[in-house]
Amino acid sequence: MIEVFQNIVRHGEDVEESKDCFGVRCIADGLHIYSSNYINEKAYTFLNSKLKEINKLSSEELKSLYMEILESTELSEKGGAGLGLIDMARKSGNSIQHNFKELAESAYQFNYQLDISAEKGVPLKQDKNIDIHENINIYSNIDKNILFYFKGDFSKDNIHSLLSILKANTQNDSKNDELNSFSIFHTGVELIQNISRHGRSVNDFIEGVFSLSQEKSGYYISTGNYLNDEKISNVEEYLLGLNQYTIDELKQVYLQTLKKNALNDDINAGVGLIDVRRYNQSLIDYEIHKYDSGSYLSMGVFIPIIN
Amino acid sequence: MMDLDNFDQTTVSFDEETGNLRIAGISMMEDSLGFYAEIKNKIDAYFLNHSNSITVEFELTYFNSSSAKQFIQILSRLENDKGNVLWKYPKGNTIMEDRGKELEILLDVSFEFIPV
Repeated sequence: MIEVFQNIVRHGEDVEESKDCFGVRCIADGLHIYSSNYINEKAYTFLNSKLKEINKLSSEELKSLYMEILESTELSEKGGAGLGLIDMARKSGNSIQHNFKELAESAYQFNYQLDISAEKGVPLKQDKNIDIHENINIYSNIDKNILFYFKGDFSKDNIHSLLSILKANTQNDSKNDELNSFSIFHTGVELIQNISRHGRSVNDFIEGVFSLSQEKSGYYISTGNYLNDEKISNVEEYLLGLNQYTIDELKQVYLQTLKKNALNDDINAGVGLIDVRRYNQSLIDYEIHKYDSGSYLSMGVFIPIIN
Repeated sequence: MMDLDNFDQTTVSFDEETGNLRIAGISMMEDSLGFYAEIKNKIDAYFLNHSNSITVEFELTYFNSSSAKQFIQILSRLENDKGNVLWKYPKGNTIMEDRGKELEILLDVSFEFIPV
């Protein structure tokens, strides 16, 4: 994963129109690590020839080439003469899927994918591979403002990783750093824990979606999760009511709700979304979709950055 | 800048001789009810055997909404002159100061606010 990520850093070009991305999809028996970045002619020539060469080699030949380069002094300015690529091919045991899309003269979008089996030491079977064009299609359709998107289990470990990513991607140096950092982090915590507490759990797997987008004057966090059926009418009524309070009323609503709910032994304080509204001074956007597979709640909130 | 690393680091220590309870770090656990259950039981047990008051010292950089509920439940045990609160907050962090003041409004317990 690190090698794929570093590939962007090594060969990527820092240009404004670049739509670099890095993604991991875990499907059934396989892990599919994908990256896409803008490269120049020099990087294209290097990567194109190196990947063609690597993809022709057997595992034994890859090992020999790896050792040969390691023992030689051949090192490029930006890395280890393709050592990372060779290492990735060895780990995967499959061909490295790649695609170059010419964008302009001497400029290419380099798409790259590594397919790894969940079973250690065994290459992923060809019929379990995802064609790179499927990922190219998915990632090219993602809104360019999205900084991070996660779909998966909202277990404790994953929640902490999500919060670390949220924090790392929203650093700001404004005069109101304290308020901005708090609002972003607190919104993330409350929305994410809302999923882990109220989301539908199937075999101890609470599936949900979390995304972070950069807007002109702040960030937008959105979440999505299936609801337990008995909660649907309550949620709809609650969110409708919550959005009707003015910002001035919300502090009083927070205090009254916290005091009332402190009397019961339920785990929920019932003030998380009140906090999300009052600290961001934003409405909570929401939609409930009813599918055959269940009712799905999408929520989002704009977090303004105060300068 | 808030120190929001080490998400799991909530320190709770209760000296059952002196009646000093300290809650520090970041309080944002999933199961705050389960996490604070033991300390609530210890406070109840303390008051069964002692007539002294309890001082609760908070030194937090962040707490989530479900922790706020647990703090109310802990501190409500100190009402009727059975204890007081030292609310330590990072100097200049008006959010953590205000969040302490909101707890104070809801309780009949003396709070002292100390920037550190």
